[in-house]
Amino acid sequence: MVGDDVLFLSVTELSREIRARRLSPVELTHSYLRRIKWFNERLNAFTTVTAELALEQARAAEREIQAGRWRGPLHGVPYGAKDLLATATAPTTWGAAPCRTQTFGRDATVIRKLREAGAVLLGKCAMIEFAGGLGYRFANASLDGPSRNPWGTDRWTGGSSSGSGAAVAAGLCGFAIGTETWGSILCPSAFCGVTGVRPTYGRVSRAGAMVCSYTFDKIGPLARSAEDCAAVLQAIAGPDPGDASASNEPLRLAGRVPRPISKLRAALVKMDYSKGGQPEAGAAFDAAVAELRAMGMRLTDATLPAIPAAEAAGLLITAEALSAFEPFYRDGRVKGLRDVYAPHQPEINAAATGADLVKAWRIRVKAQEAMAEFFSRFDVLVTPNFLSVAPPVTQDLYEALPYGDPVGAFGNLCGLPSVGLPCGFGRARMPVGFQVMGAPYDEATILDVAEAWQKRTGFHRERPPLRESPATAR
Amino acid sequence: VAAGSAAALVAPAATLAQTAKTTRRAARTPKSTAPSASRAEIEKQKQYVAQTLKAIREFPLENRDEPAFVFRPIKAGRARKGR
Repeated sequence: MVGDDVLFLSVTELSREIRARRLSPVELTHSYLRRIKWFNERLNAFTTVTAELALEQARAAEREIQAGRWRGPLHGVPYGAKDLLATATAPTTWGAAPCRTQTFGRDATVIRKLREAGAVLLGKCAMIEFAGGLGYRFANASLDGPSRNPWGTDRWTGGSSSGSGAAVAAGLCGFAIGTETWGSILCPSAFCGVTGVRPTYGRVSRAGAMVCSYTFDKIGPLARSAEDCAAVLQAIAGPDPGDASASNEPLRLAGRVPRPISKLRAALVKMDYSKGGQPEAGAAFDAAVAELRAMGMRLTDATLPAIPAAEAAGLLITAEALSAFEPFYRDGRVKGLRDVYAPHQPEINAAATGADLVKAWRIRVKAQEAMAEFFSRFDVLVTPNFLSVAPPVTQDLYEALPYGDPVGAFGNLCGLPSVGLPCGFGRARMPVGFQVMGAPYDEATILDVAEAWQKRTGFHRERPPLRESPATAR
Repeated sequence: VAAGSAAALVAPAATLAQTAKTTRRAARTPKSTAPSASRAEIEKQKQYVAQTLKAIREFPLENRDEPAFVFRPIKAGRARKGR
């Protein structure tokens, strides 16, 4: 068995050890499985652990590497996948009680690509039911209850990629795959103190993934560093005949020459912490901005376009989700969801007309045009990633997170990439994060900033105070 | 969908802070929510939807402003693959 110091290594570091045959993928997989066994009951990070498959894949990786056939930076590295990605040999529950025994008998494209890259699937990560597409008010709107935050197990991990965030933060895997319709990668990144990338819409094929919203869903990595996210994104990106939206825009992250951040034009979009935010989180963000300036970044105050992006995104996502999950309303299975208001969403949204939907689509173009103009003046946008730390698992989330998410609204309405980065700690020593958003298909630039930030700071290397004795665990 | 965003699906941002103030005392877990409380919450969420629709309806657009999706006819014998 290998120790915690190894299990918390970045993918890049694990890969270097594995390639040099100083670290056995089989031993590493056994060690992660042991750690999952220790902590999963407390954290609810994994819904299903695929131990047999993991060990089989790890043994295959070890054989290949010993034979000199190294596939790349993910070869032999164990990971977790959000439980809305179809897997041939394990249930895919979509985080929802009515789908507890659902199987597909095939792998999603992302799972296949990671298998081909030699990564080792440890299991399926817990998530908010239906990725939150039908709304949710409490963290327990999930198959087996709320995922708990490794930094404080009385607190939530964020959602909807709840288990993915917990698994990475707790050192239960090398990296995890999450999805974002609006906020579901960036939120767990912020609350769990990990690095997450929401790619450009269409960058990663969604074939074999549950649909929450046809025109908003994105798949991306959560990991312990931006460099790791780049390695994972490179492996899963690309066109796919199984997903008409998957783009063939080139992505060249490996071996790229980073742009110096002193040469970048950066927009600083400030948030109002007085409307439900926490001053400690604001202080951590202000310190991050000061550090970015000390690194040579030229940040200019900027405002978002005066367009109702949140309203348009909200209406479109709700309408698409109601359509996507229509079979569950038709046969009554929606009543099996944990959120008591989900069955009532058609009634709640009945006032929306077809004309409203078309108008939202037209507003979407206006938002895209405005953000295209915005990114003609700026290379990146820097802004907080949530204005408060992870709330207690039992708290009403409408009460806990009362502030808006205007940058997330534009980012997801326009399909823009963003990276969430840890930048300190707030109340109860829970993690605080910020984000760097970029122009469509320009993941390289936001990752340049993220990697420069993490070379300069050590927040991404902080570990939560988990102990193997439940009596001493938080 | 993240939690704050999930709230935004039914409540415009401007109303969320107000919601927090009014629900602080009444916060409860879903299982303990009585039917009448559920009905009140449903009616509240309907009001949020109405405010969302108001913002969308009042945003000025010209006749020529087109929607984001592009309709493409599919040639004979060429079925488009979905997800």
